[in-house]
Amino acid sequence: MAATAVRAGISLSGSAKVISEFFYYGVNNVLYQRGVYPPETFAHESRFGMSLLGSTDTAVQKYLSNITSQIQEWLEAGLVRRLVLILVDSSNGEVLERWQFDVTCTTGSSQGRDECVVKKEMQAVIRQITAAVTMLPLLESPCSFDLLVYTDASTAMPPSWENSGPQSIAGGGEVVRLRSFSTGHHTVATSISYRTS
Amino acid sequence: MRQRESVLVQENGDFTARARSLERSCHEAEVARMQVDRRLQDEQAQRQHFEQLSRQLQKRTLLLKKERDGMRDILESYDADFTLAGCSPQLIRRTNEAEASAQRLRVHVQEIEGQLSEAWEESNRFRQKVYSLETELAEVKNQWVTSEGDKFCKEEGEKLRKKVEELEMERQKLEEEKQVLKEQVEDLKLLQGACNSNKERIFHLLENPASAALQQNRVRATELQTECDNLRECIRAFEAGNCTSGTLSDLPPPREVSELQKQLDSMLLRNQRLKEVCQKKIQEFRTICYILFGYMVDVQLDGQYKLSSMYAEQKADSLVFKQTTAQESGVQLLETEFSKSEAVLQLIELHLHHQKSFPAFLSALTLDLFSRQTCM
Amino acid sequence: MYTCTYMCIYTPSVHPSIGTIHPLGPTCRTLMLPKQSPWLLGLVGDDMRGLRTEARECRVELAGAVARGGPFRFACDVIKYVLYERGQFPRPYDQLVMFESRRRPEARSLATSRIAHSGREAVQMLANMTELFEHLETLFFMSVVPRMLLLIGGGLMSPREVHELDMREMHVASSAKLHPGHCSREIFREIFRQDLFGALPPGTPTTTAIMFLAQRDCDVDWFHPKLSFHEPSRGMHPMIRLDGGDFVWFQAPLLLKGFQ
Repeated sequence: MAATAVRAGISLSGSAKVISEFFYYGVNNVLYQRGVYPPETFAHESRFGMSLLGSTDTAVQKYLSNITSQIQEWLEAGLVRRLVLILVDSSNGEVLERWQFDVTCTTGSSQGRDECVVKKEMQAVIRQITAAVTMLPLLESPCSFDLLVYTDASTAMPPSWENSGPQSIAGGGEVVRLRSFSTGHHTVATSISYRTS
Repeated sequence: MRQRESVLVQENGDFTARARSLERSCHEAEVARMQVDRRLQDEQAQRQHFEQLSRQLQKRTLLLKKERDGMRDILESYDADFTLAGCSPQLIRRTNEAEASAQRLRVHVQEIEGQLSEAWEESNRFRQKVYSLETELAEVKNQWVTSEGDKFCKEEGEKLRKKVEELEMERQKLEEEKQVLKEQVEDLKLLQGACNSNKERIFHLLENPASAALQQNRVRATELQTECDNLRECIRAFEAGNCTSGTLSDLPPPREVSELQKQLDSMLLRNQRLKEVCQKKIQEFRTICYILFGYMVDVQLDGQYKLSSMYAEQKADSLVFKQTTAQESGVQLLETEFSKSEAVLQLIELHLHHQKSFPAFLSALTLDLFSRQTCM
Repeated sequence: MYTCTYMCIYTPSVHPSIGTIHPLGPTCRTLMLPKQSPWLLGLVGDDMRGLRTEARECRVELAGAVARGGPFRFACDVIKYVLYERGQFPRPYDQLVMFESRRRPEARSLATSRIAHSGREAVQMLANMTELFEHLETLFFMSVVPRMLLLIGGGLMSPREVHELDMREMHVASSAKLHPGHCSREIFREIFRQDLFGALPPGTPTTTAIMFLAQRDCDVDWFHPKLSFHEPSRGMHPMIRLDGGDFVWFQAPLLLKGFQ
């Protein structure tokens, strides 16, 4: 692919695809870092110019690809507000950690940004997510996860989905903000809330 | 003549005096008459007035009578109507109600009038207060104006004004800070997951890992609970000494258990006896070796033996032999204090290095030591 | 009050733009600390070129004395974190270790030279780090180590970046209740909150030298004393006297080569 003087910006559908992939790998990264699944069940995949982890567990793969394809559709329609990954204590259902990705859709005919710039920003956020484990409290009990999608109130409920509450941490918890990135069509801001002992 | 004249003059004078007094009395009578006239007029006027009044009253009573008659007729006609139509109870009720409401209204009006009077009084009081304050203020102003020349008061005033300004600024700053903090709290709530239910909805997949894990956990917990209960039952049954339900079939019956226990005990006993016999035999063997060959053999380590001669000059004198697999003979002599002594070294040189015989060496040593002993 | 400081100084040749960085808001809790003499733990990054340098400092407040083994733990965690954050490792250290141990039986059958090359670099780096940590544990046992410097790129005299961990005012006690792991997480939480590395451009693989300030008479022969080494400028004294001890800079005798 020859380099052109002025690179075309990313399209709306491209942006939706990139963000849903980002979410896919972001979730996988968190599942690995927080020990939700054993480290042997992850393998490296090359994406966004980085070596990222993906689960080899077929059930997890199926679940995640199901969700990301729906998210991609919703992103293109500009319906997504937030994507949330919650880590839940398997014994009592208590929410221990919450990774929240706030999505703002820029409406109208907005210009997409250069793909390289977007990739660099995403790399920085993914590195931050990876490094975040250094400051998060230890998860002592076995956990599992769930993914929530906040959408516009007018969105129709797809089959095999259901309504959910916000699943916040009891008492709100501590919040740390990470960096954000923007494709020109969508901006994603990441934050983590975790339980204080 | 003169007498007549004087009498006439006197008579004239008398007559004029009499005329004058008559005039006077006539005048007085005139006045009295006028007074009486006036009074008569007044009385007449009054009488006319009263006549008029009585006429008016008569007219009025006539009118009233007429009205009364008319009302009476109307009432009679109404009564007649009512008795015909039969709706008098309704109307009576209505009038009663109207009376009651009129009564309530009267009471209400009274209350309101009472409140109004109270309010009026209060407003009066306030007006008075205001007035008194205004006068006070005017006084103070006067005082202040008069003491304008007093610098100390001026300074204090300035200070207070400045303080007020500062406090006002601080208040504004705090107000702004409060606003900022409010916004931050809102932001934080959003980050913690708060959802604006008018604008957003939250979805998730029905089948998700968290619910699956919780379900699994629950199932496992109930399984463990039932297993636990069963085991508790088993234990209770055993303690009671009975074998009950079919779930206990995989455990051996108590009779078998006691038999096995007996077997175990007998085997342990046999083992113990064997050990004792072995020990005794070993001890006997070692003693006889010592007596016949002259060396007490002690096992230091596995494959390492310490030999002490019967005729040793000191108790600590001993030789250590180690079993090796490397050499043919399979035994090595290790160095000890005793083996370094001259006599022993000579023997080693001769019997081990040249003759390569352990029995020769040991026998020679025994003889050597024995000879030394008997010499002493 | 017990505090911990991070400072990072960098000369930007090109102003970086790593996307929008949200201002970090206040945390949800406040630390109640005794108002006695402050104990500090700090990290400093500095650029030696002396041009328009940007200094970022992060102070972390620890709510008490730290247990023994705390300083060693912090030093190791900071080395691992900073090297990853500044682009010297492609993945965090713990992941590298794990994947390397999994990959070792397959390493012999690797076909392409490229993969083999990066595999070799990773193995070398991990071996160096393991050796470093072993000797570091000894050093921390033999001496008080109040400061550590990571000199990334450029060399001892004019490194591209300097990161300092300052533990001069950190209190260590054997009876301390604060677990080093908990304190370590606290330090990184503060670094995250203040987004310390946010303004720096992405780091590229280069060589890193590590310096430790320790007592002159401590009996560690693996580390090389560098008597002529001068710290980054801005008024810091080359020699520090702590409790009558004489302190000197020691360098770890290996250069950590970053890789992708």
